[in-house]
Amino acid sequence: MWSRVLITVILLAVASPARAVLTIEINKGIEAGIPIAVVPFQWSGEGVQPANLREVISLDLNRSGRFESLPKRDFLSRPHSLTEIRFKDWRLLKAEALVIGKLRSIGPDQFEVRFRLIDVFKQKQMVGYVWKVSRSELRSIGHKIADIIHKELTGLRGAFDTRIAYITVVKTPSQGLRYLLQIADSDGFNEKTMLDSKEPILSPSWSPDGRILAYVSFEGGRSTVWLQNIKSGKRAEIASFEGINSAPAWSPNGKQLAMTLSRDGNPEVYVMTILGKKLQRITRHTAIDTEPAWSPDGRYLVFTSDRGGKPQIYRVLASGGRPERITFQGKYNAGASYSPDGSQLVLVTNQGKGYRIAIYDFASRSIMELTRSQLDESPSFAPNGGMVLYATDSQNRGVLSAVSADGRVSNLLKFREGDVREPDWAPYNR
Amino acid sequence: MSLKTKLILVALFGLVLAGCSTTEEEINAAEVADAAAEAGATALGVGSKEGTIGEVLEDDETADAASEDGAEGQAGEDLLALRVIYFEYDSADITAESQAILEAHASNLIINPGIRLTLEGHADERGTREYNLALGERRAKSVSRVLQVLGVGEGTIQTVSYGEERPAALGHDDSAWGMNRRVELLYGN
Amino acid sequence: MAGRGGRRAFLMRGGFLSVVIHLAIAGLLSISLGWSGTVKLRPAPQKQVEPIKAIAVSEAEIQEKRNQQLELEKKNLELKRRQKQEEEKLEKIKKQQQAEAQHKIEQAKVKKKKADQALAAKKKKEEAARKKKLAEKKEREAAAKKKQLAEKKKREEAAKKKQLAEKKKHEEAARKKKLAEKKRKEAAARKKAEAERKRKEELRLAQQRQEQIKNEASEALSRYSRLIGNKVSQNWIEPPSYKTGQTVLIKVKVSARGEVLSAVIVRGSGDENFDRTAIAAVNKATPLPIPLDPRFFEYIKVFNFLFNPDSA
Repeated sequence: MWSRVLITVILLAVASPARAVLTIEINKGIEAGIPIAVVPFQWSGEGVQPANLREVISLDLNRSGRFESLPKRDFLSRPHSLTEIRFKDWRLLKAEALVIGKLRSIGPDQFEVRFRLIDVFKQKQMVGYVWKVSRSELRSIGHKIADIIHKELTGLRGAFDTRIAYITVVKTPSQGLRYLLQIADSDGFNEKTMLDSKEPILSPSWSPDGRILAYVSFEGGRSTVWLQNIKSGKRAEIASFEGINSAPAWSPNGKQLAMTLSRDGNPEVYVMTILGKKLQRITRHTAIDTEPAWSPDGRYLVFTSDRGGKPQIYRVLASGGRPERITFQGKYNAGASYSPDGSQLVLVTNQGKGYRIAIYDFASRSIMELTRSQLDESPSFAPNGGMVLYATDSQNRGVLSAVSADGRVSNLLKFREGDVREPDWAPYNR
Repeated sequence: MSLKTKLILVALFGLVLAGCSTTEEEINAAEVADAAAEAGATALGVGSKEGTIGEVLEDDETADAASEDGAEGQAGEDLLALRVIYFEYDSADITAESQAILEAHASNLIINPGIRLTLEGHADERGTREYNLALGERRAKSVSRVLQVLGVGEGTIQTVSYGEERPAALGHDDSAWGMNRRVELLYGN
Repeated sequence: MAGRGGRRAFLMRGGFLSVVIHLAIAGLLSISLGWSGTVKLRPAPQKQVEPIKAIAVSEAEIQEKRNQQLELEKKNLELKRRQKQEEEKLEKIKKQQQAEAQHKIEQAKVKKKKADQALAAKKKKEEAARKKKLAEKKEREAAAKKKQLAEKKKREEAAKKKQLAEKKKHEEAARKKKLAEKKRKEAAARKKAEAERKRKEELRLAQQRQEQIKNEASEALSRYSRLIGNKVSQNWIEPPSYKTGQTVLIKVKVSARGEVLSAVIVRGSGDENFDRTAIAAVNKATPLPIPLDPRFFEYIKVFNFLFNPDSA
């Protein structure tokens, strides 16, 4: 992972030829998290503080792989305002940036959050914000702060203040297995159950505006595609044809749904309009064709097919046409979806060492494994492309994990109970 | 699959191919008798592959004969007791042993019109859930095709796939996966 | 006389020749007789006796003839010598007579000359006395005049001389003074020039030393540049927002122990985030592993970093 470090030395003549100043050239850095010190926010109010903002922010930043939140036990001082900062303390820790803030109770269920981001070496504030929010919004403010830090220090938009959808399977003594369709913040907190069923649920898929979830439910004794409004909870069947009805995927404009139907006798990829439910069959092959996913520009669909003998990824025009095989490396490639910039796919691969999450790069046509375990599946990109959320197995329990898109850092998301699987990372819109 | 079933099959192949073999001698008399009954049923089953009504009637006769012969009846009931067809990894191919089971069930369906069969396709947990859902369906349809070829009416059979969602065995090893790559035959009306 | 001398010379030559021939023949004979060994031109008499014997008769005859001829020539010569003696006797008498006559004439001439001379002397004496008187008078007058003139001249000259001397003295003094001054000035100038030269030389040497230290410092820093660069690289978290072609040039000032005192952007990349990561990298790399020789510090306390990911 650590690239070799190349250094060349050149002499540049500055002003007069006699006064040459040595210039050392730096060609390579390291891939590591930016060291950042997040000072615990100062709480002023009654009782214990209603949210640990430092923890929300730190965990977000660490999970992204782009940051390394320094342990607070090393902090020589704990400033909360600009005048309290002793820059030497933070230079000593080699922290590139410093986060300070205050959390104040300003009324019944009213809180004021103050936050500043400081460049330790320039000894200057980079940004500062104040919010007035209710208790339930405090964690979300923490994610927003993490997003601001991400943007300021990496130049790229953060994706912490976003949501995820997933399926949780819980075993109850009375009712046996129960399947829950749930949504939560990107860190797994603020969990909310959208559907509770005795029959399997799978393949939740966020609409581009983040308001509707499409998913597959077996509640009618077989697979059926449903749509459900996040806010109202209202739901409706959209595909319940003969055979399987599965793998819904929203078009980028939110007007169509690609899905897999075996109504014609064999699993094929179809595109259905949301309004009018007009169907267009995209694939025609006796093999399995499934798991469609749209390119960000809406022009293409990628899908999984075993028409070549083994499951591999193919690409076809969303309007239909002759599919073209994309992956050739490894005996198993499936479940692909596009990166937000369209340059890559994230997929499940088996290169002989188990089922792992991998990135396929269109430019280099190569597959790079991101994970190291045996039964990883259901990968989806964060809306900024910086992380991939996927399902894996930890101590015989299904869990979700987030891995940085370079594979360097991965973190398990914490859930209270059950087997957690089938995650889908929501778009930016809440 | 039980040891007994395996022994029966070994004996069966021994009879069909050579009538007599060395392995046979190691099997006790009772088992050989069972195997002989199996062989009879299988031979009829094979005949039924032609799909003609006359041969189907032969099945009836066999069934009748089986009811008359305690030993043979027991063997047929043994096969009907097997309600699960197992598959290789990423495959929907019917093995020879499964073929025997399906022939028994096809016979049963034909002599009991009005009974419906649901074929529930499943997959092991490896790979993506959606692909496995399709794979489960492919397996169910593969079984359905064999039964239809054996003379079972299309309207009698219904397929559904649960993919990897309803594993028969928990665990993440070859034995659990082998148990989960299956089509379950569910009788109903 | 010449003819006689020539003939005699000829004869003598003839005799010599005969001896030579004789010797030559003897030599030839001795050689022809196979006198072995090296040829020696100094014949050994003993060995010569025997071989000559055979021809002794003819040799005697020749000798006889030759002796007769020699006798004849001897008589002739005697006759001629007597004739010559007679002639010389006559000549001597004649010369004696002539010399006596000459002597008489010359005695007369001397007598006359003496008389003339006495007369002339008397005249000359008188004349000389007169001339002398006149000359003496003239001389006295001239002397007086001359004396007068000389004295005058002397006085004038003395005055003039004195004046001149005075002047000369003044001039000399001035000249000497000037010379001294000049010498002093020259010495001072020389001294000054010398000092200047020395100073310049010292300066040059000092500069040379400094230049050398500077070069050594530069070389040392170059040698350390890999360490320094490594440390900065290990602290540089490459910006994900980086775009091809961007570079950042940073000027860094360090303490004698290599601590980064300041790091400022000389030329930014246009990407604030890239610039920030570069500045952070240099700061985090403190202290930089610079050469610690205190002589070098002056020359290495400021240097640059160029962040240029493309050339990797």
